[in-house]
Amino acid sequence: MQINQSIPKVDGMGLVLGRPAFTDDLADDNALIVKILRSPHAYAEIMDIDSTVALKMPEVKCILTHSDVSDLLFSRAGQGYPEPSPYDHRILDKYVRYVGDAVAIVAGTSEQAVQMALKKIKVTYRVIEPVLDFEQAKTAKTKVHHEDGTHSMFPIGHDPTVNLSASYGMEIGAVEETLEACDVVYEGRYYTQPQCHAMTEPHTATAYYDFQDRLTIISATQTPFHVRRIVGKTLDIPLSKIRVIKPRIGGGYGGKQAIHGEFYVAMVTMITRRPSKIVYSRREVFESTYTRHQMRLDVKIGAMKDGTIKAIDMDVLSNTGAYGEHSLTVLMVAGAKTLPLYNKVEAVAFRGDVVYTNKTPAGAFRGYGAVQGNYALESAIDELADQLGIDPVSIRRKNMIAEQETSKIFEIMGEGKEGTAMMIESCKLDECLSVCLEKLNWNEKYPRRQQTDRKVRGVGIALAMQGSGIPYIDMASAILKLNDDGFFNLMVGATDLGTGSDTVLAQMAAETLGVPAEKIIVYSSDTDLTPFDTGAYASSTTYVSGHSVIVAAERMREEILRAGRRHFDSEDVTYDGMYLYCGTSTISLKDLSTLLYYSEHQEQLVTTGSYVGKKSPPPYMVGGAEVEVDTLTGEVTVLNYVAVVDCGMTINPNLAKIQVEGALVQSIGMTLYEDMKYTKSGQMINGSFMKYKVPTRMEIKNLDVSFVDSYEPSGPFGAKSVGEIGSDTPPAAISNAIKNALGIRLNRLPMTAENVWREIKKDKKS
Amino acid sequence: MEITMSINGTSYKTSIDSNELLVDTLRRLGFKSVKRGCDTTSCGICSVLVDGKLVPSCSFYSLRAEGKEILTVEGIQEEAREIGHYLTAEGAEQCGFCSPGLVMAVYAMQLELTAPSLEEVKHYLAGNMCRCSGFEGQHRGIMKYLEVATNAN
Amino acid sequence: MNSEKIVRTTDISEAYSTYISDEHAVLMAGGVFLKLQKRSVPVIVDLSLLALDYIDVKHDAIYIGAMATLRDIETNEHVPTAVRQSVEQVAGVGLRNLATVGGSVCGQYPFSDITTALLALDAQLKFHNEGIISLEAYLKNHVPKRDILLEVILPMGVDSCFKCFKQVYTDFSLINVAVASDGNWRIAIGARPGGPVLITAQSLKDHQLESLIDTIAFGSDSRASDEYRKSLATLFIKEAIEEVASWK
Repeated sequence: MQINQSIPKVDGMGLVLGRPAFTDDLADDNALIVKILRSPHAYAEIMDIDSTVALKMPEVKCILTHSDVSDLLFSRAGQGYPEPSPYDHRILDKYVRYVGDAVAIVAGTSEQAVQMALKKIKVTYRVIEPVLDFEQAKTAKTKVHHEDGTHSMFPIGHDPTVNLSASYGMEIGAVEETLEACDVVYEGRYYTQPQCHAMTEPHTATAYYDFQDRLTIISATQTPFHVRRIVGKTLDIPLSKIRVIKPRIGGGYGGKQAIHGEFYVAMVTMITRRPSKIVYSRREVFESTYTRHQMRLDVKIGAMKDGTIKAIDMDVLSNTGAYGEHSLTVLMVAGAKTLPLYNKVEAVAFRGDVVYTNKTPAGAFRGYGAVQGNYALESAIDELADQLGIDPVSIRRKNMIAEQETSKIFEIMGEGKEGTAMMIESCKLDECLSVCLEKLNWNEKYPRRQQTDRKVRGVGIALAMQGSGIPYIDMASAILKLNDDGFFNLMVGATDLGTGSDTVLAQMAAETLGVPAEKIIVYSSDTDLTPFDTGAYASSTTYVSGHSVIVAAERMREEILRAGRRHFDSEDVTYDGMYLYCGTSTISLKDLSTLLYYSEHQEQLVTTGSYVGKKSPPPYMVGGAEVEVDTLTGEVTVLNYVAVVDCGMTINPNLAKIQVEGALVQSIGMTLYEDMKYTKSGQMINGSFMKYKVPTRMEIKNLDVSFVDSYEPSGPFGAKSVGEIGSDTPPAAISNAIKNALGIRLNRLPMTAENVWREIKKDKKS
Repeated sequence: MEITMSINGTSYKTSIDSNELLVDTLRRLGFKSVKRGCDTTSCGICSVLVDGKLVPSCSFYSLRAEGKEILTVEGIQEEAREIGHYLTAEGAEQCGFCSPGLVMAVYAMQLELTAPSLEEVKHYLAGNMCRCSGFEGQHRGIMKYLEVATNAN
Repeated sequence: MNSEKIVRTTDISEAYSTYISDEHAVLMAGGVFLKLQKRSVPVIVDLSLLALDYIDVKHDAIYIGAMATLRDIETNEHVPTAVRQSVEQVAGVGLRNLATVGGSVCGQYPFSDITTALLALDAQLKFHNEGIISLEAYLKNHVPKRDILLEVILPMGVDSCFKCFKQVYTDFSLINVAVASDGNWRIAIGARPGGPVLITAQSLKDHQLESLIDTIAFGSDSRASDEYRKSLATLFIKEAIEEVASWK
């Protein structure tokens, strides 16, 4: 068996040994260094740019401003075409819309020279009063996009005249009416903050002309094919003249699911005909790439005395910052991947606005809206249970979705448009919940235990769901090639950002072909050499790319059998992966493949497989937190976080576990420690690892991640997805645990020690 | 100006700018395992050993490397393979960007500490950031590695 | 930080005369904070060849060379407790192998942890030209303005304790306190806008302590508000005093 095996990642050892593998390792040593002059103002019109002094420096080879580049609008979002994000971005614009927005592109022969050149460029700005408060954006006088041609590819509620990047609403049943008939209605408002991905590799891209005079871009991107399309269309280069390669990436989590530096190096290389590269500084990664969407979520839930939830209403205000990439889709996921958890309601409504502000743009970040939605919804469920006098476990068991059920939301809410109806064929929430409670020791610990005078402990849980790819939109494909010596090349467009997808896909190919996984050599994410894949997002790689690999591998089996039949000159041939058999004769695949290359009926066996999902079966998870609150300092320590996951079959259990552990820690960071801070004029204060604090090893006391037995019939070998599900529960589970410990509901992230301390003081007073 | 230093046991003589930082000098000389992760000496990604001590190469002025012995992952491939065996057995090695720095830190830790507890390991490695793995997998691998290494000695 | 010229010397007099010859010259100790600064200076004087990285333990005092690193201090069991505790969570081991006590003290960083501990222990600073002055006086008067610190002298046999609050393990402290008892109580409070301050008292009852703390301005910034800092400081001082008292 090659699946459900924790084989080491195919690139694991090479990376530990420090082999050159990342974009900056592969860039030409003599590539021109590209840096961006960035706006110091949150909103301004560029009246004049004077680069004459900078251009006099002999080391400076190129300076580009908005008048030198295409003014075509595009969306930076790495999404399927036509994108559900507005086209509101230019390579360089006459207006700068946030502190850190690009003003000029400078390329030179050394880092020092280019840094000096940046200082010598004189820019005259007409400063405009910025919109900084997302709760005031719709009525603000300032328009972040003012008559600048921004538009959407199809209706998404885009209305820049009221600073709306996108807007959405849906209702099933009649929510207000149903709420009125309820015995109990809970209403609550929740806030989440912009969070930074903080991946260790800063965004990096390099460009050069190859020996066929084609523009080649090597970039740390999650979406190489989207990069090729967007660069080609915007710069008016035929796509056949561009190649995009994704090497190893040092982390992404959605933060590299967009265009970042690729335009700059493409333009510099096009003009100078020399290789160029851009390596974002850590500050630029914080200020000038993007963050998670900040949201305000209003939840109303109505239930009857017996605990039956009748109606849920969710109203969201989302802050997309200066540009709207991923604005509509993240908003919709906040509802689409949370509300179906309670599918037995009579009525459910979701609506939201995504507003522009003059702040660092927001974009894709693991969980993609579901984290924010889950925080509000799962906190609200606990509050509702409290009001009803029912415990939080019982209310969930009574109302949560189960196998062979569905929710109308699946067919109504999709990727910016309608979705796809879906019957849930695998859902082990019930079992996940039981296992989680047992591992947490819930019966003994719920709701709270006073440890000392000063320290109190509490436990809390939350359910979550996510998706597996985007049905009818995400396409993936694979090519398999048989080599002499009986091994295979597997070429996939799928993008491994360190997640191990190369490995998992190799395992699936190996299992189908009946060979050990080390016989499959994977090469991925090269727009010339690998077939198409939308890229690493929406938790699609295992499910969608996996299927395409299986198709290609099944076809390869057929091809091998066909070659075998020809070799034995008989129809009666079988194949077990290593050998072909015909009566008493055998030939190893190794020998047959060598014959096929050199001596007999020579032929290169190659197969392809493509796949588009017809559904997006959700992985499910129950997260349970045990926290200890120091009531004198407000410090919250997560003593134990239990995650019990149903992701269908775990193709590689170790890698699945690490995906969940990694996501948990990122979301614990969002829950307790991470926050973006701005000055009154919109300047980010803490754009460095010195001041933006992600959890360290010491904050993590114990993570307990396990998987329940589950099989998704529509999934490759029964698998669903596992990339994002780990992100969703920590904010709610921890907030619920704190509520149980202290009797105080924290409705704003992050729940820093000082914030908790203040709530405790407030609570004492009242 | 010119400096002479030993890198992974070989003597290197190279021209540097007076303000050059070791991470850039090392990368320029081909040691691509050494990476830059931040601007503020906060992440540990660039860790190397200088005269046996763990040091953030992004904040070490190259002119101070004169006469010193620098060690990068390229110079401890056998030990790295050993540590890597345990890390990859957990799946804990994810994007790999933090791996060389982590390996150097584990190596330095072994020079200083004997049979450290998990808490001591976490304290020693606290300055080596990882954003992918959630740390626990790294700790599982490193503790297993240390157990085997201790038993061997 | 950039400079045209970096002077490396084994001769302290040469280092000193180069340093004072140009009012814009800068000293390089660990180099960590120097690297973060964007400005250019005409000359940097590198202190790393002056053999100031020692820790000498004598009967009644410990002499810590200005170039002793925070990691050297962390791992030397003769260093007074508060000082060792104060460096344990400064960033990571790697940075502590570069950052020096001299750089921390002379940098007069308001967020410094070690300075608070040294202040509580009544550290004496020995400068090349000025001679020995107390850290307390140095922090108050900022004199000498331009001199080279040679060593920090701490008393042996004084009980001390350090406490701080950090959001995450390697973060800057929101507030820190250090307490030392040599007959009198010396309580230093730091990681506040303005740097560490000192309270001294012969004996302390809670209400006396609280009214002493009331006289201190804690300051609000993006890390924490002044009320929160004050609340933490009060708590930590009480705990530290209890801890030190219990050792006697």
